[in-house]
Formats: sequence, structure tokens, C-alpha cells
Amino acid sequence: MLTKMAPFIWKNIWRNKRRSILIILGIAVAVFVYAALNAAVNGLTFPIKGTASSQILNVREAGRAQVLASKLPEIYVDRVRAIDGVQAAAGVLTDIAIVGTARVHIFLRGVQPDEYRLVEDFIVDDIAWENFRSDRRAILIGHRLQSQLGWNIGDQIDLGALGIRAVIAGIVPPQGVDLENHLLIHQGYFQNNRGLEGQISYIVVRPAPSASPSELRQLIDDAFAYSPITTETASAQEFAEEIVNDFLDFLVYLKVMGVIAVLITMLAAANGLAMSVRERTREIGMLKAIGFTPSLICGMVLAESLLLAIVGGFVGLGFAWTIVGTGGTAMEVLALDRNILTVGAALALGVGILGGIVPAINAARLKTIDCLHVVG
Amino acid sequence: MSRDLVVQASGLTKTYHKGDIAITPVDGADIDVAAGELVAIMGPSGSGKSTLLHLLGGLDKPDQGSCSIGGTDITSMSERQLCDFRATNIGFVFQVFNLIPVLTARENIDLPLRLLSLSRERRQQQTEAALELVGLADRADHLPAQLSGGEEQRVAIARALATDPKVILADEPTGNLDEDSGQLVMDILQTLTRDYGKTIVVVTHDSQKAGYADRVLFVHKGRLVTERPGSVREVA
Repeated sequence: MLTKMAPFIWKNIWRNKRRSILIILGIAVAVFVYAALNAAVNGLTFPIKGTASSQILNVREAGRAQVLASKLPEIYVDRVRAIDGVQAAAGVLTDIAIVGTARVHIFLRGVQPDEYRLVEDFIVDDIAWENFRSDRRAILIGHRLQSQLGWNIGDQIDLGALGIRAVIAGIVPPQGVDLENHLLIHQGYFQNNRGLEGQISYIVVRPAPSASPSELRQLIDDAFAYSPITTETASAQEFAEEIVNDFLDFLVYLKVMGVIAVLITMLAAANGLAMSVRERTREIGMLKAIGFTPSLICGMVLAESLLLAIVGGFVGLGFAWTIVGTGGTAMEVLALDRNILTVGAALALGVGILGGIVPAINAARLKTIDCLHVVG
Repeated sequence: MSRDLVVQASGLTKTYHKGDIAITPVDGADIDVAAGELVAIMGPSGSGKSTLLHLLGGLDKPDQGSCSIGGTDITSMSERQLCDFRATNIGFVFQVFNLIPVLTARENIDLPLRLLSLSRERRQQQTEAALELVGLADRADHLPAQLSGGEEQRVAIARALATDPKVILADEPTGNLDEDSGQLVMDILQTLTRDYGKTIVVVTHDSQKAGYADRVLFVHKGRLVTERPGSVREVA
């Protein structure tokens, strides 16, 4: 029956064009905000998470909320390496640089090349690797930095804020451990430039095949339990997530703002629909008088709401997709995946249902005779 | 006159409460309307004539009494059953037309037909026939705002008769119209009964308009007090 009323429902939607367009735009903005924020979170967290393995362990200074604040003596690496069950260990000094007008985030890892290659399974061609390990001012970059910043092999880069000048020796492709927007730099050179000789941020540990990572975590932390600087060991996956949480807390607030935007939109949509129903009270009475059942009236109002939400969701997601697809370098950090699109569409439908259900039920419950007595 | 009764109501009573005050606009009304009759219900403002019409149409429920349309008792029906029943058995014409402003005349007439299990072709035929009957075939694609008041009411009449209901109930159908338009509307209602055998009950406070009816029922304080035959039709 509802499908028979489709032309009527469609015309009802455009009865008050301005209001309908505002509702659609509201939903579109809310869905866009949701999609863009989540795409940004995805874009910034995936590169970190993508590099992490649940088998690899990371050791950092205990009690440090932020990994940048973690300071471990470089000599800890040898002590970790000596622990039974450790196959390989490598110290990493880390920092972040923000580059260019696009404000691309670069995660620097100061590593000793031969040590580090034993713990991380990234792929790089032999020439690039040899160039990197033989030149202390050479760096390897994740493929995203190439696409985001246009960097290429042989380019000399200047990270002025960190006092670093380096030459790109190679680009690490997404196959294997994906470095994304990370950069590998010689630890010694990095330490000298930062005045941090003998210091690292954390240690990457590859457990022996026979070792249990969870038991090894405990063994490592126990080994430093009575040292001046105690340690906290977690899987690289957990560690990466902590980095994400530490550095990108603000995105959580942005996500909260996105949720608030969606809620406000929902209230505005509901109010718009409620107004639309109130204005049509007499008309609803007439429809009931000529045989429209309460459930049909309810369905029609809900269908109006859903159609507005679908159009709004389509516009919002389409806009987000367009920006991510054509935004250029500045938007490379966004990662709009199928999951975000699905949740965004579900969100729009949710706004349509939740925003429309109360006006729809109210319309269905209106007494025919009371509606017909409404003046105006 | 045939005694094939389309509307049969007896002892209809309706009381409303406003605070401590009880108002009984319809108080034990009995009314029978035969097939093909045009019956006018007259009375002063507040006499209960519109409430009586609403009870006859199942728009409101009586506190006492019963009402049958085409032999079916509607007083015990649920809201849902009443809606379904009205869709096929009762047509309504209101004083304020109540057309959907975003739909054309044709679409407004088609609206109640969409509730029925009719093919598109059948709906189109019935819509066009109704438009022809009220003389608005050439205005079919106009929106209500592009029609005069009289034309709007004629569309409303066409909408009411498009489903070929057992009875059409018209509540002050000329109340918002000028004299000429009002007479035209009454002419149409009279033609529908005289030439097409439709059964129509009209509420009016205008004695001249009531004169178009076969019978005129007078309501006073919720009761039907007198009845007289109509005049214009006899003259005509």
C-alpha cells in the first residue's frame, strides 16, 4: 500500500522546499562530518597499526603516557637481547615531524639498520638497503610519504625543526610491514642532531619461535624491575594503539563532536518533521476520513523522513567521497573505507528512523474528528 | 420512494465533557436515509448537526445508539476497521474542501482510489468519470490554488464519489462559497441523486440550500425535531 502512495509521499516532501532542503543538508553535514572524521582517524591510525604485529613486542619506559616521553638507555637493548626467548632486539628513537602546508605527519624512527632489519619484516630492494645502511645521512621512507609529499629516491630533504638533513635512499612499498608515513633514519645521526646520545625511546623485540610472547613480556619487565628506569612491555599492536591513543586523542574529541552533530541533526530533522505533521493535522484528519489507516499514515510520515535521510546521507557521503577522491595531497591522510561508508549510511537511516518515528506515531494517533476541527 | 435503507441510525447519543460541564450535541437521534435520497440536516449553529453527521460517517463514536451503513453496523468497529469501511462505503465533503495542495485535481480524486485494489486503468477511468460528473475535466491538471472555491469543492465532491460509496456525507459544502458557486454545488449534489442514484446527506444551516433536498431534517439541541419534504426539487 505504501508503494502506491509513493508519488504522494514524494510530493509531500517538497511541499515546503526550504525546510526539506535544510533537513537534507543537516543530515548531509552530519554524515559528512562523521565520515570525514573517521576517515581522518583511519588515515592517521592505520599507518601506525599497519606496521604493528601482535607477535613483535615493544619495550618502553614504564608509566609514560606518551611514547615520545619514553626514555630508555640505549644499553637496555643489549640487556633485552640477553633475555632467554628473545631472538632479536633493536632500539628505536622516535619523534614526529609535521611537514608542508598540507601538514603531513611524519613518524621518524631512529634505528641501527642491521639491528632493526632483524625485528621488522619490511621489504626494500638491495640497492636501496645498501645505500641506506652505508650512509648515516640516508633514510628510508614509507610509500605514503612519496605520494603525499612527492618525495623520491635521491631527494635531499630538510626537516628543519628537527635539524635533520638527509637523502632518500629508498622507498618501502606497502608489501610486507607497511611503513606508510614512517621514516627510518640512522639512530646515531638522529641522536647527534637531537643531542640525545645514548638514549632511545623504545625497544622492538622479536621473540624466538619457541617463546611465548606473553611470558616474554613479563620476563623483560621483571628484568628491569629494580633498575632506575623500569619498563613496560606490550605487543607491537597494543603499543601502536597506545601511540595512536597518545598522539591522536584529539581525534576522539572530534569524533564526539561528530556524534553531537549527528544528534543535533536528528533533533532538527525530528523537529522539522513534527512541524510538517502539525501543519498537516487537518489534512491527516481528511485522509483518515477517506480511509487512510493509522498504520498507513505512520508509514507515510516515516517514509518521508527516511527519504530525506537517504538523500541527505547520499549527499553527505558523496561529498566525503569526492573530497577524499579528489582532494589531492592534503587529503591523502584520509582513508574512507567501506566500513565508514556503511556506518555513515546506517547513521543516515538511523536519523531518518529515529527522527521520523515520533512524528509518525503522533500522526497515526491523531483522532480523525480532532484533526478535522483544527482551524487553518 | 424506495425503502432500501442505506443509513439507519437509532438512539444516537454523544456527550462531550469540558471540565465539569457535560455537553450533549446529539441526544437520541434516529435517522433513516433511503438509497438515492438527498437528505438535508438543518439546524442553528451548535445544534449538533455536524456531530450527527460525524457519527453517521464513523468519524466519531456514539456513547449510545447504533448506526448502520448499507446494512453494516459501524458502531462496534475498531478505528482500523472504520478506516477500511469508509474507504469503500462513505464519501466525505467538507466545508473547507480539504484538498491536498500539492496534488492536482486529478491526483486528489485519485487519492482514495489508491486505497482500493484497482488497476491503474480502472482508477483513471473512475477519476475521469468523476471529473466529468462535476464538470471539471478541463481543470484536471490544476492545483487547488489555481482553482476557485467552487471548483475546489467540486473536486472534493468528485473525490467523494470516485470510489462509488454507498453514501456521501457533506458537511456544510456551500458554507465557504459565494451564492452562485453554492447553488452550482447543490445542483451537482441534486443531479447525483436524481440522475445517478447516489445517496447523499447534507448538513447545512441555509434553508435555501436545504430546499434542494428530498427531505429536510431539523435538529434542535441534539434531537431531530421535525421533518419536511424539500421544495426546489418538487418545483423543478
